[in-house]
Amino acid sequence: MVIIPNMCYYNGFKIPAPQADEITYKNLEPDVQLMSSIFSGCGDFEKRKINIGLEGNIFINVCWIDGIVSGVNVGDNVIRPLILSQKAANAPDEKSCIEIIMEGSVYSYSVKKRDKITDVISDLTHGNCALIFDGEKCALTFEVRSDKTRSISEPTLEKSIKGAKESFIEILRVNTALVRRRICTPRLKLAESSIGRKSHTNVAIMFVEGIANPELVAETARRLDALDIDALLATGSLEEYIVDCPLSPLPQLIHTERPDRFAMYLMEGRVGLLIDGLPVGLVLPVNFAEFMKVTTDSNMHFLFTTTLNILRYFALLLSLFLPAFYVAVAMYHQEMIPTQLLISIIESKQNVPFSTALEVFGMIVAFGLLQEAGLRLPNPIGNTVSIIGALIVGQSAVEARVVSPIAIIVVALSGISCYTLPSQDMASAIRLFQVGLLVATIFSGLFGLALGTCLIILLLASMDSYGLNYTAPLSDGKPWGLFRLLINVPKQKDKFRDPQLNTPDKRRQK
Amino acid sequence: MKRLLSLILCLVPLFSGCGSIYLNYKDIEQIKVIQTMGLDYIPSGVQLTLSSASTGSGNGEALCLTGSGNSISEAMEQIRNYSYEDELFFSHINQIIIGEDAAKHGIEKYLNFICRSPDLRIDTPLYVVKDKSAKETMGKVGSKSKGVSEILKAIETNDKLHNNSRVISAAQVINNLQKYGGTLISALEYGEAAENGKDKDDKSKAPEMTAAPAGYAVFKGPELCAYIDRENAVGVDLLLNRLGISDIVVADNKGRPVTLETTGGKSQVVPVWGENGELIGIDVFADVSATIVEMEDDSTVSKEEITDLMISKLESEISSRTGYVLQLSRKLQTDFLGLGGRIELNSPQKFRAMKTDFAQILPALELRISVSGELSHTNDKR
Repeated sequence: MVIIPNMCYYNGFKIPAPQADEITYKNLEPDVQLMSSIFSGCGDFEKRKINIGLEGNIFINVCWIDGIVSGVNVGDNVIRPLILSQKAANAPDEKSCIEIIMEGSVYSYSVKKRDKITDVISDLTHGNCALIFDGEKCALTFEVRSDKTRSISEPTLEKSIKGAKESFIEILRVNTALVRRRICTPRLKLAESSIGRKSHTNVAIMFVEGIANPELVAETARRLDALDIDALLATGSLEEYIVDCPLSPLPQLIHTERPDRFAMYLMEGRVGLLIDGLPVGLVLPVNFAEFMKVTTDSNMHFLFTTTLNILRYFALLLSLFLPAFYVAVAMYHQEMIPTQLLISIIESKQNVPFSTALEVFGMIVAFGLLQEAGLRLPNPIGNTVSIIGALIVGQSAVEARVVSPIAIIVVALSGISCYTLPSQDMASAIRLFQVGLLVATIFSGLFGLALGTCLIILLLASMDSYGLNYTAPLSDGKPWGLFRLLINVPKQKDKFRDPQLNTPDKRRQK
Repeated sequence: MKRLLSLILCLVPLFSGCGSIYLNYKDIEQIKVIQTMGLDYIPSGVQLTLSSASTGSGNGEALCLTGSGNSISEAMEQIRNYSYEDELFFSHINQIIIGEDAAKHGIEKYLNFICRSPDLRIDTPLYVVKDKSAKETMGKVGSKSKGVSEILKAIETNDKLHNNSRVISAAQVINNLQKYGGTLISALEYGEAAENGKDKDDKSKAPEMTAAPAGYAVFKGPELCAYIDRENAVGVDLLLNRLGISDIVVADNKGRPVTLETTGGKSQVVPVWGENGELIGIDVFADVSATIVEMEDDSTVSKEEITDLMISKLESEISSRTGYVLQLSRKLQTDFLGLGGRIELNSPQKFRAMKTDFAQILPALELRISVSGELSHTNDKR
């Protein structure tokens, strides 16, 4: 391995040597040598020295990062006007030249004058090209972002029959535009910040002024500002830092890929977060009940949505308690099972070598393995794995008397119920609790189940999301909590925003 | 340290002394579900017979185990010790059969055991076998495909539809004995099952035996003292306001049989008080409705004189059966119908002021029965 200044070579690849931290050069002025040094080892960093007006005496360096900037745009909108501009070429010095360019001799819709190298670096990494004036120790940056991005497609996870067919993409500005198209008011505010010492990821805080509680917005901004991480590349990196109970497996931010749903939450008085590079929007604060709602609820009659809501909660209880309850009654409390069912279970368990606990636990593990295999593999193979898995784990296992049919029914029913939950994050948490309850039940029957349930309730009751009680409306101190949780009222009657959000504008309709 | 403490605190309830929960573990496939319990009197104590469901014993056959001892617990222990079967599971005992001898010697200790046992349910139905022992009945009744438990379950289900005799639970029996000093328990008899045609010609095969309702066994105190047959059980049901569907055969104007099916009925017990406040009689007012379900000549079914005749026959039959039951109660000096309770509800102060026990004065009471019948449907084909 040969080491040369600022660069090391290993097997033919150029590996940049450790650089000085940003802090060391944050107050330095733009300079092409410094820029080259900072971006050394960056194969996509491009720079070109040009003579303004071809015959002039002013030479400048044009820098950009290939890929995130459209090379054609740089050529057409920046370099060509500079070459052709006689006025700029005739400028007596760099200072006058900068003024002429700022006045419009370059055909870019945005131009920023930067005096600090850190600003120039930030602009370059966010899709700008920079004109470096070494003499004046300043730079002009123009937005010439590449338009080679994924087009807006249909949501893949949150599908809707009657709703909009647009989903967020990886470009922050496109996402903010998608939201703004739905909330056409200047009251929709967008505060942007850069997070990540190394990644400098743009994050936008969106809220509707006059509806969102200003304290909530300020608290969100404060928590984001307090973040000191290397890179923000996934929602998980952000979520665990800004929620109230990071150790709780229960989700505390809503992830949505639908701009319409995101906009609905903003209109409720919640705060939304959009992260550059991620095709999801985050919403806060949220409580448990929000994770049981789906976007299509707002497109359907309230009676249908109420029925589906009740069904979802039933599915939640089934997925959480069914395996543990089955193990409890089959191992400890056989007197609770109706006689005919007990006899059927005994018959189905004859010649099965494993205990009920091991059967159910094994089936849950097998179910998890199948699910993981299906997720990790490409779609066509994933489906095959599911079919083969279902055949092997299901039919063959029963025929070989390795597991009883009733154990398969219990685990499958619980698994299917889990899939009906609208939030995958919530479903994952429920699966975790399900296993916890199962273990508690294996050791102490219904007593363990009751104890586990108490602990889950304790956890739920102790959780808080930006001042919003996680178990609301069950615990907001107002009557008919369960009724309000399960029953959706007609839209004409639903006049007020959630009082727990403490919105300045409490009424959503007359 | 805090985490360790939290973990210990979470685990504390598991070590709180409720140790029985760990001992309660049973492999579900290892248990033998006992569904029917039979109790018989033997001079040395109790003979206990246990029967499992025929489909629950693995090989498809019902299991029948017998043991004896000074007490039921001892007999149970004997069965457990000498049984090669899996763990016997008593929590699903759905029927308890008491042999006639045991019923005559008193059922108090059996009721006591049912109340105290953590495995038995107090709402378990009780049956008394007429003229037979429980062991004999449980041994003979049923087949490979259908054991005594299934047959008794079928009786219980049918009872809800055709309640010629009601199934009475241990709790009701205990309650009746405490309140009125007497009670009724469903009576059973067994005989050959109706032939199903398939085995009709197979003479080598022993006929299958089945159990059937046989009215009620009447208890004065804890001892069996009489039976009420199925026909007169209608009177009991009417007096207990539980009359359901029941067939009554009467004769038409030409002496041909006509079947009336009761569809409902209710009775009212009105006490008759003397001038000095003593109870001197009981008036029973009963309303019964029925339909004509079978008659030879239905051309006259809609005629008024025929319907009037049918109504009068219905009233007469009901009156006769109700009268029989009331007379039996009076003769035995036992208020197994709970008449005292109904009179107390009607006139609480006067009833409580009575100096003599109601059962004692029952034979001296004047009983008047007034039945009002109604034909709700004639089912006229035309």
